[in-house]
Amino acid sequence: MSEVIELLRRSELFAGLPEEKIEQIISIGRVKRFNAGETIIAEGEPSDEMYIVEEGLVEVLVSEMALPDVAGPSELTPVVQLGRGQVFGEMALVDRGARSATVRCVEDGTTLFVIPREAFWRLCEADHHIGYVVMRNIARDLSFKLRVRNLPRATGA
Amino acid sequence: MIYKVSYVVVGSRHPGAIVNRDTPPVLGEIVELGGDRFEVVEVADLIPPQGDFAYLHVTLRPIARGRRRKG
Repeated sequence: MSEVIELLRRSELFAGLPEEKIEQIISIGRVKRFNAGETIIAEGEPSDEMYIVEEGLVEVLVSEMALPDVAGPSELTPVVQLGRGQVFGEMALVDRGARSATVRCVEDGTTLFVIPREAFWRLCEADHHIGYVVMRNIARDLSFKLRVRNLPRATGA
Repeated sequence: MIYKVSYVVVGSRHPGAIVNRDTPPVLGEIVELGGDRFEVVEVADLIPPQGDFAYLHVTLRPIARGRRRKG
């Protein structure tokens, strides 16, 4: 329990929340472990969970259809790896759309904390402070990812 | 302080990575990502620090191969 609290405290998603509210979030989630090569989520599938990397490394891959400006054959293209403290699947929390990317495990024993969408929304409705802080932090995280994604193009790399 | 670091790899097809670190990256440091080893060649602030978080952009170059990744 204390390890998960520490993980969530050190994840940007829950920055600014006191420990008792982090414990409320922990109560609706669970820990899952994956080995290298396992698919965690698949592009196009329905989405109902968000994930935080507690330990290990995952890789985000998109198809040509999802990322039309990437040249090459119509296959999954790795776009970034995510390590400790990083969040993925958060778009599903916001828009309830299908998965926008495939995420595969890179390192054996990768540990994720999984938060189900509907239970999380209920928690946010019951406690608007949690909802405000998490949505602000999701916006900040998505902004960070957009900036990172735009950097290589800006430098021509 | 927690350092949210975006790694970009030059001279490799590695897609780069985003990782939280307890210590700031430094030039010449060796970083391992999924079994691959890289050297830090550039560190820059991406956006100003906010709360307990610093946001850094780091350029890496590969120094060895030794992939452990499956399929």
